[in-house]
Amino acid sequence: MRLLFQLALRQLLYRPARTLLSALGIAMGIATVVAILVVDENTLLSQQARRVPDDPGADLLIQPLESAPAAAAVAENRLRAQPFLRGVTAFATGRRTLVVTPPADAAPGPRPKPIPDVEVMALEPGATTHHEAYTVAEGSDLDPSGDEPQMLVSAAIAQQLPLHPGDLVALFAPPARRGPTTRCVDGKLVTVPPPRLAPGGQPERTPFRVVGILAPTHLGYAKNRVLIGLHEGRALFGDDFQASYWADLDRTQTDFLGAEAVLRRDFTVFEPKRALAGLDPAEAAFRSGVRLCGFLALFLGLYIIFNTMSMALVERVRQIGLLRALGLTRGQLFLVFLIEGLVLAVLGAALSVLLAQWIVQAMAGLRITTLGFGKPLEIVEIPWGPVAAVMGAGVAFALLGIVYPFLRASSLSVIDALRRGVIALSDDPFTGTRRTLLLGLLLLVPLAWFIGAPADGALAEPLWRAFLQAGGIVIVALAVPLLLPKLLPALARALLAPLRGPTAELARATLSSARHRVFATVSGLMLVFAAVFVVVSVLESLKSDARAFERRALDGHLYLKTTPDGAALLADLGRQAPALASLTPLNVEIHNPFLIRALDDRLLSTGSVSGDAVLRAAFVARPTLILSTRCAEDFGYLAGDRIRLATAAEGAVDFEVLAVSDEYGYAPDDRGFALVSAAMMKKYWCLDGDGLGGYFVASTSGLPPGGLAPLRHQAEQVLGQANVLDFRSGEEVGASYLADLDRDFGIFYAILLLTTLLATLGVLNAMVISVMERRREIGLLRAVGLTGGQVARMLLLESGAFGILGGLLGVLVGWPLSVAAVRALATTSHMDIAFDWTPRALVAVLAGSVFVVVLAVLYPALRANRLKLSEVIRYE
Amino acid sequence: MPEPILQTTELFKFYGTDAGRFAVVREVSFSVRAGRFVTIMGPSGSGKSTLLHMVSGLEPPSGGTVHLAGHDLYALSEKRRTLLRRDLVGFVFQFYNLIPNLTVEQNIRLPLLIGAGEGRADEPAAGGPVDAAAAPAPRGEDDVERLVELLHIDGKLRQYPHQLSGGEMQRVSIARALAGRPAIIMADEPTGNISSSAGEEVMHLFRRCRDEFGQTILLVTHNARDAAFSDEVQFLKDGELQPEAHLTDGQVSPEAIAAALARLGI
Repeated sequence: MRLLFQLALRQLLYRPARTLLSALGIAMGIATVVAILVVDENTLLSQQARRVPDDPGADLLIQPLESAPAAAAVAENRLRAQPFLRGVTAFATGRRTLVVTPPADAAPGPRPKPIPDVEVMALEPGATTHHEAYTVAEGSDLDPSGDEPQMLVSAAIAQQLPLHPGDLVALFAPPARRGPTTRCVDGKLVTVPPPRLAPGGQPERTPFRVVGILAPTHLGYAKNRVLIGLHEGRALFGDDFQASYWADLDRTQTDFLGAEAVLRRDFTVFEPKRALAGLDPAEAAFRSGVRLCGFLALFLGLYIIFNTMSMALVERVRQIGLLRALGLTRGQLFLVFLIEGLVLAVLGAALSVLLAQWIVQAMAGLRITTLGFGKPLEIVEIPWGPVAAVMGAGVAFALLGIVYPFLRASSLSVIDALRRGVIALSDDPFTGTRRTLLLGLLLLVPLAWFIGAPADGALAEPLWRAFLQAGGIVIVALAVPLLLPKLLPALARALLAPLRGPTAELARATLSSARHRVFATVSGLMLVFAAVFVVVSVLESLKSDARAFERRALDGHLYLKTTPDGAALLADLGRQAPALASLTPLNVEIHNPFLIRALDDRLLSTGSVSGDAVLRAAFVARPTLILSTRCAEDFGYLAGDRIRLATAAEGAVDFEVLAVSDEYGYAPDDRGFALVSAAMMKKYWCLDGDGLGGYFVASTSGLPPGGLAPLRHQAEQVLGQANVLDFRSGEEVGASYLADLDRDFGIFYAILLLTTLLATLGVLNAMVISVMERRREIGLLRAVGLTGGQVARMLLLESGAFGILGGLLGVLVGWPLSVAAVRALATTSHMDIAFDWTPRALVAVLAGSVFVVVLAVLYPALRANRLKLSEVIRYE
Repeated sequence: MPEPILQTTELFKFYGTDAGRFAVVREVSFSVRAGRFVTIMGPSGSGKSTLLHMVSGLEPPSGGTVHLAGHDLYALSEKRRTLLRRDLVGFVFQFYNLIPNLTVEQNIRLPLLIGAGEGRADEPAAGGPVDAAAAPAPRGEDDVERLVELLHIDGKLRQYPHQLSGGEMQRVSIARALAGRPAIIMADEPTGNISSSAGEEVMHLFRRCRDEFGQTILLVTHNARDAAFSDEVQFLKDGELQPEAHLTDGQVSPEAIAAALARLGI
């Protein structure tokens, strides 16, 4: 055993540069995937850290449209009967004053002051069973079967009063808090006088026993909050009691939009997590894409070590022959290869830890996340489970790389190895290992899924189908040349067929015989270039979609963002610059259940309803909506449908969908919105733009020549330069969004550049193997008159055939993959995008091919020309 | 008398460094006239292969000069040296050195293929006029067909080297060396790996090349039978030529060779 270790280790130390380079190849592959996993995990955590910290963690927040008790009860029964909801938990909130009730035997003295305006949250039992509602730090949880009303207080309140479990408190609404309130009535905020107390009457006090103190997490995070049972809440709030609900969604039965469609008649449904970046289907798909690119890097790392072991084999055929002649068994030979492979793999894994750390730090520093550039990112957690699994997979992959070289080495005829020192063509066991490689392909798909699929439950069935479709395309692309081993060499030769001369003829002859090397090199390049094609095509499809939105929504408008101070001067601006007199606020909006924005009537002079006076009149005078195409598709609405919306003025009101149009939109990355007239926004929600800063929009039709610059200048003069925060045309807004898309996709390009470098390293290794295997042949060719330049040209032609064939096949495979990817993206994200081809994709592949070919041939050509001719032709 | 086609002056070759340095070839000066069949004999390790590699431009000497067809070989660039070798020299190696993924026919035509369309290396050389007989003969398809017939390998043209016997491979190697009708054929132990009868055939073929085409033959061997076919025999012992044992015209015979070897203790 010691001898075997020595043989293995000496072989690695004999070529330290190659050993290091191979370990580096493995390390780069593993490090890329590990870094992406770590950054992805922390991208989500960084986004989720921005959420409201007292979020109980439920999938859905459900609010009833009707407040009348009878209707609310019916609606609740319907809600609880839905099979796709889990853990439906009712809650209600109100505000009361909290005061300590001292024990009867308490000593006289100053008493703690009451705490006014405490948020009282009444919860249905089971809140902590189904959701992460709260944690009791001291004392016990609420017991619905208790003899007396119970309360949990926040740690801040407990400290302030102070309070301990067992203390008595009371909630009441003193006259000051039962003062007048305002309500929205027909577009006006009106004052509602408070209920009168009976002469000499006292505000009602409701006693509670403090049973526990909350930990400052989730619902206990808010400092001014207490929790009571739902039953006690009903009694306490009286007519003001209105239950809302938390619930979890069984995504195996439906998704959010499906649930909303079922519940919308009675409820407004929100998905708090949807607002968290990364779980939106489009963003989940983006993250999957980034992870799959990392998987490609890992796959190429295997290719590197495979070539290394093959090189080692070629170099020491005689040594292996001698060892076999002296009695080394095949099993012992396998152990030698295994030890070498293990050392390389472990060295690679160790290097990968350092590399991954460096990559993660670089990405965090540059704010490169798996959702694009510029998003917040703080590395706080390492997903050790997946990281360990990926490193294990990388080591396993590396060990797989020794299989083929070992099979070749063990099949060597000892005499041939000793006598000729080369592996004869007839010994090529490529035929025998094809079955192994074909089986190995079947392992790639689950491994790719494990790495590529974010494990956060956000994936929908369409993404599964798309993944399997893509996996099938890749398997077919790799399996066909394995099943038809002469195919790739024939295609490579065909590429060189038009060329004449000795170097072309020699290159063609080499490509015919080295079937295995042709397969390994071309298929590796094919995958890389297919990935490049897919990324560029998906980006182009998204940009086409964005350009289409820009043409529909943004072109022909200009946008001004100003402060409240600036907004107060808009009338002056309009008088001085008549073109800007039509600026209307774009920022009067609510989210219920989707973004609803007020649209000034003046903007209706252009667009799809401009030509229809009846529609225009209906939009202004009646509760109607214009839905964006994204909103209509997401929620399944058509023109003519009615949508029940909860309003501040009149409870639930049915709004009619007047039209589906993007024409009045603004933010290209926020295309799910609805428009209501400014009059209706004021009537039903008492909202208008008075006193608000934000975005204002005007039409650019009829603007004087000279562009926007003079108008901007005027705006700055009238409003004050500091108050003009943004002033752009719709075309400029669209262009900046396209630039954002390019920037966000930069992460893909960065990973693909890395994989292209790995692929180049793989091709370089393959060419070096070729030179070493053919050193006597090359020496002979030099001896009979082939110059160094001709040898380099011959190698360049071989490498060129690899690169071009890999590129062409990459496009061939990338095309259906792109179609599948875009279709999956469109389906899962409800985006109206279609596959759009662009010459950019071909240019990217072509540029990559040339890069790989040229770079990969430099060192092998140098080695070929450094061969000592007299030695290689002298010895067998 | 015309200039020799090959001339060496004080040729040295050292291997190793410093204290471990040893001379494989030392102070070798000899010349070969065009159209002559010259053999350099010596036991294994005498440096004859190294000498052959140096005079063919494959291995730079540690000292001395080599003039080939009037060209100072190692004053030329690597590229020029390669082109010169391509145009003037045909190699026959001991271990065949066929290209495994080319057919027999492609292997034979390899020198023609390499030289096709390229410029020729000859140009007025420093050091004097070049003998007319040393000028490369024109190449052609007829030569290849004749050689194939001559060497009895016409039925093997579509096969690959691994499908041939040792003797057949050596014949292919010889055909390749002769295909371009080079001015000088350099053969390194060409019969070392073939049968005795096949070896005799090869030697007869070399004689025909000299007689019919005027080609110069430089043979290195330790086989006395092979050396007996040549016009003159030089002896190399421990890297040094043994001028006292030099056999020239009329002196070369198996007995004379044996006697010379015995005198030299080789």
